[in-house]
Amino acid sequence: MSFAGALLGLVLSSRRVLAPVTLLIFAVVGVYLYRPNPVQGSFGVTAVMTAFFCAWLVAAVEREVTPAAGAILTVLNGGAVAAWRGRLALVSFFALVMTAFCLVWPTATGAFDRSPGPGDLLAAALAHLACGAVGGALGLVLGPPLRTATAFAIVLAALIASIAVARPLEVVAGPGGVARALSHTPNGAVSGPLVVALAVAAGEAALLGYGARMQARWRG
Amino acid sequence: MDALLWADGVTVARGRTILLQDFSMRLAAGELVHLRGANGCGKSSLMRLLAGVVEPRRGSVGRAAGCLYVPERVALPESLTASRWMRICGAAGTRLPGELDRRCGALSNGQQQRLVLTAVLEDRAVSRRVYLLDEPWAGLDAEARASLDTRLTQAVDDGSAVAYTDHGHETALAPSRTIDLGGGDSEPGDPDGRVRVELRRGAERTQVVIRDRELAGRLSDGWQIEHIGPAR
Repeated sequence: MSFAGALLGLVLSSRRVLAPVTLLIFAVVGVYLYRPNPVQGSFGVTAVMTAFFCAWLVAAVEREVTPAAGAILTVLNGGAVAAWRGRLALVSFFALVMTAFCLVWPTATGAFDRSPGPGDLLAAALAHLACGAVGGALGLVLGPPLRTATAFAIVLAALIASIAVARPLEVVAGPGGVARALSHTPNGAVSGPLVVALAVAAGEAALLGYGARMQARWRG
Repeated sequence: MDALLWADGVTVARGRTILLQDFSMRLAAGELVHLRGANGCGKSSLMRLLAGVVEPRRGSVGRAAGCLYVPERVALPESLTASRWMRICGAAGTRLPGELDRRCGALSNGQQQRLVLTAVLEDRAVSRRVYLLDEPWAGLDAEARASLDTRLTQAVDDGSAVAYTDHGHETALAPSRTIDLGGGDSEPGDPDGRVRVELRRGAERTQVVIRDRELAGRLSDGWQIEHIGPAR
């Protein structure tokens, strides 16, 4: 079993993922409950939510895996580098699942004011994946021994700050910048500012992931 | 002899605390190595580094065989079942004794230790391995300790290499080599693991300097500890 599979196996034996999954469903349903539901604007909101819930899910996994279990599984799966690859695979998995849910559910239920085209869905998928990657990487940085409440507060503060600075900083504001760029994207297109925002978010995710790895090396 | 694991010029550290600097060692096939040292000297951190749980800050660690690692103070997620743990560790085919086949939260420390040892030391396809065991005897009963000793002796005979720590002197194994990592931040203990103990059994009182294992024998003879302290 791969490291990511082993982590999933551990966390699925607990109830830790129930709260974030339930709240994600509740939040996405809530976003689309009342019209108007512009395609890009609504996708922008759920993209930022993806960052938050991805951070929560990754943090839940990191907290469920005890230090001893994590160490044993790390060695059985080939060592620290392989384990980091596994963690990144898990972040990607969560981001993919959430992206699929956030795109498929409103499209399938006809929740939008107009039917989204392939270009809209592509832009939205990229935005959700980028935001999910930032959130997941943040979840890795904020894993144990940091306390749950502290990690929760930092994730919320970071996302609120990202939204707050999205207007002045535009595309470099992380998930907030991605959401803003997506909501200003013309129908059915992936705009230049959105591509820049996606690249910035991907860079942030990579930096956070690298930081989490260095942090683990530092702790010893 | 073939080196199955080697560390060259590694720095072992926890946060800002440097525990070992420019440390090098080789672990050859068929070796049984005891890593010893005072509390806080870096035994467990070195084990984690050798096993590949963490990456070295400086230096390099190389392995010519797969590692099997058992950390100290094993604690598994409470809601995890023993059988799922075995599956996750790739040891689904191993039959667990009935008393271990429960949720990990319902197992005692010793039973969790046995479960981890069963999962990790499961006979795997590759016979030559590096066993890195951090206080693996802790919490085990006499039968399980003897069984582990037999398993490790067999592994060494089969060409694997074993490195272990045993602060409590709980094994009867005779290491082929001992690596002394020296002192740590804390006061170094007696190099032979001896303690000075005042014992009482009814009206009898005595004061002795003995090893931890001998103390266990005295306690089973009905002696009770009045006071315990360093041998020196």
